[in-house]
Formats: sequence, C-alpha cells, structure tokens
Amino acid sequence: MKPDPNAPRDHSLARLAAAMAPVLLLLILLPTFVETYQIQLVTYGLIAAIAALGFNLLLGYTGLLSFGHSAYFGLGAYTVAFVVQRLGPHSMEFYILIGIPVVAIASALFGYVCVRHTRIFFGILTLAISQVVYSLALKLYWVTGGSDGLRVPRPALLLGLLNFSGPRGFQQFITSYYYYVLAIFVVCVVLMWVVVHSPFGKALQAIRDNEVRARFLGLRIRRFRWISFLVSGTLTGLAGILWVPLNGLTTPDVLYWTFSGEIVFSALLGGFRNFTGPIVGGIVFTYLKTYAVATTEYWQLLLGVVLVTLVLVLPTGIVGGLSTLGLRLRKGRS
Amino acid sequence: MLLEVKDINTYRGPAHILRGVSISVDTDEVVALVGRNGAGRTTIIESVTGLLPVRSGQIRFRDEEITSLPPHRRAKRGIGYAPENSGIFPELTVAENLMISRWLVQKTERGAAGDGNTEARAFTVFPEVRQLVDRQGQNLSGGQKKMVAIARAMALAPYLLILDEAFEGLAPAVVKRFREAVMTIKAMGISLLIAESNLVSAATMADRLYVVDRGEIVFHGKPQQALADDQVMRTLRG
Repeated sequence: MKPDPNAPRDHSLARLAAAMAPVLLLLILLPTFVETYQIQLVTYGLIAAIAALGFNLLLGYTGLLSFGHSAYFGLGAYTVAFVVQRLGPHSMEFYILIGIPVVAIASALFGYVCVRHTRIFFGILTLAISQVVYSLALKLYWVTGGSDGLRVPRPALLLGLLNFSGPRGFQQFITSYYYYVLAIFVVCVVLMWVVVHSPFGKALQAIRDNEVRARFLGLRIRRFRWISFLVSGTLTGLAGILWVPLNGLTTPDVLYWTFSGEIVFSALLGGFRNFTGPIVGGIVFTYLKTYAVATTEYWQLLLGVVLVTLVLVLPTGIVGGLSTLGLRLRKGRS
Repeated sequence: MLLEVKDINTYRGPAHILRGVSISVDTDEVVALVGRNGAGRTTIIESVTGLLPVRSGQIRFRDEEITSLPPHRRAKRGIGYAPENSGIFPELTVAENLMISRWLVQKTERGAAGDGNTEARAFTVFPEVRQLVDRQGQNLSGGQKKMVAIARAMALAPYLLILDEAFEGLAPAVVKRFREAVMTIKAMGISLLIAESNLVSAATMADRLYVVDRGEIVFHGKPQQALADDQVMRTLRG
C-alpha cells in the first residue's frame, strides 16, 4: 500500500511521548555505559539543542533568519557570571530564576526593534545588535573581565541538595548536571511542541508562508513576530544559562557573530523545516566541532566543507534527508 | 448601511488608480463589482480590506470609520475576504487553515456571542470541505482552494464577505456549486461584495451592481438595468 501524503497528521503530546520514549530511555541509561568526558559532551550537545530549538522557532516557523542569537546565549551566560560575582548564592535554580527574566527582557527589547523589518534587513539588525553587545562585553572589562571573561564555579543543584566538592566532585557534578540539563531539555521540547502545534504556532507558519494573506485574516503580524522573537531569544538565553556552569568560564567569544553562525549551522545541519531537526543538529554539531578541533588546526575549513556539502546534498538537513529516504523506501516496498 | 465607501482615491505607487469611487453594501445584500481586467475592482477591494491605503475619502463599516484601520483590525470587525488567488497557506492542512480563523474569532465579540464553533458555518456553505480537512493546502486543486478560502473566511464569522474573482477558472458545474454557496451565505444573513468580470454571471447573484472602468464607477443599479444598458455592455466588451 502506498503511503498517503494526505493522511491525518497526529500532533498530540502522546505522539511526541511515544517518539521520545526510546531516545529518552537511552539518554537516561547513557551515564552507566560511557565515560565522564562523553557525558560532558552530550550535555553540551543537549544545551546546543535547546539553543537551536529556540532559534528555529524564529527561522523554521516564523521565517526570520537571525544572525544575532549569540547575544541571548551570551547574555544568559554573563547574567549567571554576574550573579555569581555580585549576589553570591551558588545555586543553579537561583541562576535560572534571575537569568530567564534578564534574557526575556533583552529579547523583548531587541526583538521590538528587529521585527519591524524582514529578510536581509532583519538579519543585519540582529547581527548589528549582537555585535554591540559583544563590543560592550569586550570593552567594559572592569565589569565583564574583557577578553579574560568571568569564571563560574560549579553550582549546587536542586536548591542546595546536591553539592559537589571533594576529590570526585567533578565527576559527580558532570553526571548530576547531565540529568539536570536532560530534564530541562525535555521540558523545553514539550513546551516547544505545544507552541508550534497551537493556533499561535500555526499563525506563525501562516505569517511565514504569506504575511499579506495572514494580515487579512486578522493576524497582527508584528505582534506575532515579536512574541516569537521573545520566546526564541529566551530559550536560547536559557541554553546560555545552562552552558556556563558546565564550561566554568564565559568570554566575549560566545557573543561574537561566529557563535550565532554556529547556531544557524546547527539548525541547517539537522534541518530547520521539521521539529526534531535543530535538536539533532545541535547535538551532531557539538560532536562535529569537538572532533574537528581535536583532529586538525584547520577545523574551520572542515566545518566549511561540511556546510557546503550539506547545502548541496542534503538541503533539508539530516532529519529532512532521512525522512525523504524513509518515504522513498516505503514507496519502493509498496 | 453595512459598508459605505465615499469618494475614495487610491494610488499604487505613483499611479492614481481609484478616482472618487463611492459604493455601499447593505445588510443581507449581495453587491457585485463588475469590470474588465485592470478596471480597478481588486483595488477597490484592497482599499476596503485595508491592504492598500486610501489617499482621500472615507470608509465606514457598521457605522464606524475604518479608513485608517490596519487590515487585521478590519478583519476583526467582521470583514471576511477570499482573494482571487485563494490565499490558502500551502504548508498547513485545511483544518489548520480553519483553526487560525476559529482561534481569531474566539477573541472577538462575535466569537464570544456564539458557541465559538465557527467552522460549522464554513461546513454549512461547503460540506465538501469536511473531506479535505487533513490535506495540506498545496495538495488541493484550484476549485478546492477557492472553496477552502471561502470556508476559512466564513469561519471568521464575518458580517461582510468579500469575494474576488471567486468563479474565475472554474468548470461550469463547479461555478453552479459556487453560486449556490453564495445564496447559502446570503441566507445566513451575511452580506457579500463580489468582484466579477462576467456581467451575466454577476447578474444571476447580485441584488445590485457597480460597473467599474478605469478606476471610476460608470454604472450603478439593478442587474437587469445593466444588461439592458448599451453603454455598460460596450464598456465591458472593450
């Protein structure tokens, strides 16, 4: 029997749960059969996936390509560093509690300016704003530490229930933090699934497809784009908040435009026209970059070749390519 | 009067398209705008929906001035629009296309007043659309797209439904189905403003009609008067 392209699409949470269950089980069991370094890498991958997931609400679902998402990731990271330096409590929940409103306010302000434009003008504005933030982080060295950045020690987790000191503190932190990030990652995936399959998410896709048509239906285009920007920036900022305790240090590099490029790369790598693409892209990119850096000093060249190959051979990304392949195989069988 | 357009002048870039156009649509009335291609029918519709700003003149809807309102505010006040090219969102399913309308109308007085299930109204006009709900917009035929476009506009629970070239490019049997749909919509108490290039086709549905030529209204009256008017026939034949 041929697969029917018009078959009903199930967008329920049950479907998401069914699809996620085996992957989630694998991720839960992962620390039992891999070494600490690999757990650390997967944690970085999950954080990159959260950033790409947030970014893709803007690119894949709203049709706006931001070249400045490093600003929100970096603001999240620097907020945590400021909290550590000025306020004191080394609690991850406290970092998140302070960090999320900060990145949300920044996203709301920058988004308000950026969504007044579309296409290349939008991209350039987001890039320009992120470069302003980068310059401030670099020049205000008495606040930000300049190019040396700011150190962030290992925080306590679960309101101080889990502390990490002593000789095995690092290993314990990595494993516990992995589960911590995994839990937040699952919450973010569920949240984003609900958003993109809600009438609000469908309205964003309608705006992406044709804003004039969306306008005469009664959609406030700019308001919708702004909310999308706000959610997108906040989620990417959350990724920055989660990243900095794992990295132990934040520098202006995470605010530089090349870091925005890495977020764009992640979304392209996985495929930005489907829900799981940025998640896969974020994780694969983390491994790709890590092993490219370890293999050759010309790692940027290697990543460039991968990007060119990707655009030419797999324009719909890894997930998009696999979906097409699966569809062809099913057609071939029938 | 439901809709009153008074002496509007509209430009597309530097080109002066509409010159002092005045039209009106009453409650429970079907009004047709008839004219050749390029006469200015779509420009009148875009001025009414707010997609094109007017330079001078006044547009009133349900006794409220809407001349400077943006399109989404006009839609929320009850102006539904099914454009010539259907305007279906290609990557969304028909159900999702309708879902956006239902979601939007729930936030308005009309949505709060009813049971919120405005899709039922859409299916009353075109029961065929029920069979298409799981299809993506891009997988529909031309006629199906036009049906869904009208159904989607109906799901907004409008007071006035504007159809731009709704019958263009359809097979004669389908055109008959669309005419029936217009009558069903009228029977539901919704007024219609229909842009048509075919006078005979417009005359079968309209209570009144306006003939547009070179951005001006050159005739206004009953369809039978238009059909009997040599000057109108010459204008429309070119």
